[in-house]
Amino acid sequence: MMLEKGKMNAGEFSIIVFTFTVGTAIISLPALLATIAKQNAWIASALTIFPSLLFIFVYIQLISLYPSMTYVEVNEKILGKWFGKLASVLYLTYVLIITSGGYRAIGDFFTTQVMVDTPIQVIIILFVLTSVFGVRLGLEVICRTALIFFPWIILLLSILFLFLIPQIKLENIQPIFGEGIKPIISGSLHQLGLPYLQLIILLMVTPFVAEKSEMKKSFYLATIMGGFILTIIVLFSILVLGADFTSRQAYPTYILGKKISIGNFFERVEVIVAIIWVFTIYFKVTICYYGLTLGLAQLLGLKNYQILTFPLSFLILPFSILLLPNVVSINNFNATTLTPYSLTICFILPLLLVVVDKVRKKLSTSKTTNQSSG
Amino acid sequence: MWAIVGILFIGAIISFFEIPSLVKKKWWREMIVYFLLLSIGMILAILLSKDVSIPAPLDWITKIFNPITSYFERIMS
Repeated sequence: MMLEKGKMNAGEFSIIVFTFTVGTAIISLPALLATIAKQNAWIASALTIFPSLLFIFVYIQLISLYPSMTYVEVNEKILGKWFGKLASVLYLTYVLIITSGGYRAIGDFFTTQVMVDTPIQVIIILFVLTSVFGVRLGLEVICRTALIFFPWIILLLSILFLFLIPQIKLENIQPIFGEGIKPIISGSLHQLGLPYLQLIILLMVTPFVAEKSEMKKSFYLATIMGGFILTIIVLFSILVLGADFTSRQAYPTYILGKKISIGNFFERVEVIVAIIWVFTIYFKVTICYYGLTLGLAQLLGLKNYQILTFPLSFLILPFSILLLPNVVSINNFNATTLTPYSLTICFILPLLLVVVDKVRKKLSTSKTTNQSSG
Repeated sequence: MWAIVGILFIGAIISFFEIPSLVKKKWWREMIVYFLLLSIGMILAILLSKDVSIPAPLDWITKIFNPITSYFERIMS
């Protein structure tokens, strides 16, 4: 039974992939990478795009096996009832962590940089309420909204990049490869978990994309686009702020907005620039929230997913605050545990699914040919 | 005290709008899941408002993945 009746086309899907990739990574990535790979952080960021294409290849294999099923349903189909449910629970736990982490990221950003005296709960409640609104209205509404706001994201990004060009100091990225190749690889390894492996959450919405063959192409293209934007963000943080200063900031991208200064009157536009990640994080968490609700409804065999939105918001709210005590421990988690954790849930498990399904199909076909020949 | 009353009040208001349609359609399974999720969330929210220290969920994951993380760090440094 289909719980979701909405459809989206490949263009809307690529916008979702793009906002998802840029998502939370745009504010936390430059500091993380600059800590590890110093002035070569942008090379690390660019290199990460290649392994991420491998992940998307695996996801697309999974999509082509069962085009009309979400990841939770595919789990149950391939691994059987109980193992499938177990894998889905692991997956949904991951989605819950990413969702609450997204709310926490935007809450932390607002309470430390923009509205310092406001309690974090208030900001998270506002964001959760808007997401609940979107999720209740369904996937199609979320996609159309993303379509409306996408030009704004691009416009603001180009404003940010264009007006920062005068501030560039080329000596900041020198010496290129000065630290050797090891920190760069280590940096890329840490970046895998931050935006790219999270793309598995989109396997909850891929069954509702109308044009399947177009979708595969746009999945690759939009990820490359998102990775490209992230690389430019990292590059600009290092070019303008320097590797050392970037690594010491919590939100280097926001500091980049503060650095814009054209003729002493076009200044302090950082909050306008901050709208970029308000949008990208909003769409990312809303899609995650949607995937969580739909996945939970499918896991438990419910007839309607909208009914779960409000109780889940009650769960997500405390969870996002409980997640970890402070920003430092969150950054620490991102830098150490996030990559191995996401690799297990988002790469090894889907790979296992694909392999199990291929082996099972091969076994069953050889059995039928044996029967027909013998 | 007021925080608990407020949380319960919001939960009650939301349920007041959601539950009648479920009862009318006789979706008991959905109702059980609904109340289970809502009560877990409300208990967490109340504990949070009372400043009860709850172990952070991500710390468990950090503990589980600790061997792999330290192995990564060993080969990368």
